[in-house]
Amino acid sequence: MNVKNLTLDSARPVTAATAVPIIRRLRGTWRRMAPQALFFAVLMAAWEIMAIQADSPLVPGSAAIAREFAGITLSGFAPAEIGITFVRMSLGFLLALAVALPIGILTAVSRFAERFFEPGIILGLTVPGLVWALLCVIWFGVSLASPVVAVALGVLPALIISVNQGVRSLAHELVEMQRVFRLPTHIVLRRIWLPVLYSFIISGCRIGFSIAWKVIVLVEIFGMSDGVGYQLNAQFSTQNVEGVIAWTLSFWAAMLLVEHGVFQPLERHANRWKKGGQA
Amino acid sequence: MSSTIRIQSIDKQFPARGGDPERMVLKAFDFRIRSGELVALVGPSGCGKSTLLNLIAGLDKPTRGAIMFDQPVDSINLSVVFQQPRLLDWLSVQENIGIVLSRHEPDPDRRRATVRTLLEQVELPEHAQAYPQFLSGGQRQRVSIARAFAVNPDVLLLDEPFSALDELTARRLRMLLQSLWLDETRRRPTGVLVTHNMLEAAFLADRVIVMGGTPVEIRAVIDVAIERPRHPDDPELFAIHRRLMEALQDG
Repeated sequence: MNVKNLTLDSARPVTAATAVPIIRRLRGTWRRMAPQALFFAVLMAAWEIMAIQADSPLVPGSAAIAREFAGITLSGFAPAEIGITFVRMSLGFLLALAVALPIGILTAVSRFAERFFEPGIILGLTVPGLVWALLCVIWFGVSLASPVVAVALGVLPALIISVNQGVRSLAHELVEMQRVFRLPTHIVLRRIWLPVLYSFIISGCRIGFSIAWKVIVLVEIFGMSDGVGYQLNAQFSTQNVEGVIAWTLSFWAAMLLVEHGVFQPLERHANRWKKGGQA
Repeated sequence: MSSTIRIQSIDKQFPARGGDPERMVLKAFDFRIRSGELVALVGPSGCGKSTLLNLIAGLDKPTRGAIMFDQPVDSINLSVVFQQPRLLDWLSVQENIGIVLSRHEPDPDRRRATVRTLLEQVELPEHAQAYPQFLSGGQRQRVSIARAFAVNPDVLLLDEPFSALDELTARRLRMLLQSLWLDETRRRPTGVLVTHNMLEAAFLADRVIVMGGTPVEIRAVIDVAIERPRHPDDPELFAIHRRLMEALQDG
């Protein structure tokens, strides 16, 4: 009797301790995912109603789009083309970041530099991605330089503004602190400026990536023989609406993966020191 | 080695700004702070105490005159405890202290040992890995005090270090500062304390300088000849407090 009681008593807390966190985690996941699942359900329902009402090959039903999407994805064709587009985007992005960092810092610390670069930043913000795409295809032809430079030019102003705001957010009080303690320059850059810029650069990257996508598609339409933009153009030429939508959806899925797999973890890491920063 | 601070015929004039006229805060101001003593500056708000402290810290330049130390200014180890702790929120408590040691102590093991000792002295060893945002105001100011002592300063400047804290916490931190000041294992710096709290000035300082007027002038210099360690409820402190208040009111 005693032995039985002991076994029961020792087993109960283990079961409770493991079950409660699992239920809590499942509830948390459901709470996070439910609004997004609802969005997809509403979107699909609205599309289906529209397709039935239109009854036209220009507005294909969800099933046809899903078939096309599964075809290009499961065959590995879409992942390969998306990969090509992503490499071009990333290279353009890195080029923009390398230029944006010194200019962003300069414009934040020097009034002259701010005035000097201001017209260029405004020009960059106002010129549509289409113009960069056309110019780069004309200048560089069918080469890697076209998409890389076009993306870099398209993203650059947003990144410069992010870096500039990051440097400006460094409080005057902290600058005084580093002066009083005469911190070496490499320490100031690595332990103060870089962490401050980190979260601003991540938010800049997010905005930049969405701009880069719009530019790269245009370059690939005009001057490339592969990539998502080229495939979109090919589907458009054959009036294959399912194909256009399926390629757009596949890239959307890839961007969601980047958002949840790269940007959000980086953002959580950048904000780990804030109260509620991990939430 | 602590250093004498000689303030020699300092003028400090602020240019007209935002509708405010040009303002001469210090005019031919002279004063000498002896090596190893702690001097408190008291006086009405805006009289120029913090301006003087900023000039000593090198955060601002005098319009005329000079501030001299025993060694060239570049070789002086200077520390400041600010009114707000001014910690780097993205660094842990131990990193916040360790960062100021990077110039003084190249060996990371010895750096860590120094930080550990200081955290024990300020009674925060269990918070070494914590980020500042997760600490109370008093704990943050303890970190700031530990950081100031980490570099073994020749000159320690205290700019209203406890004015943002509740009285009980401030009292505890004054005691802590006194114990660090009296710690025989490290050299005693020359200290300058700016405060609005007369009891705090009397409790911590060797001399209290009562300042007032525009441009600012020294109204009184009161020696605090009370043995250390001092107790915050020592009746002699209240006598000094009365003298300070009289000197201020006379001004």
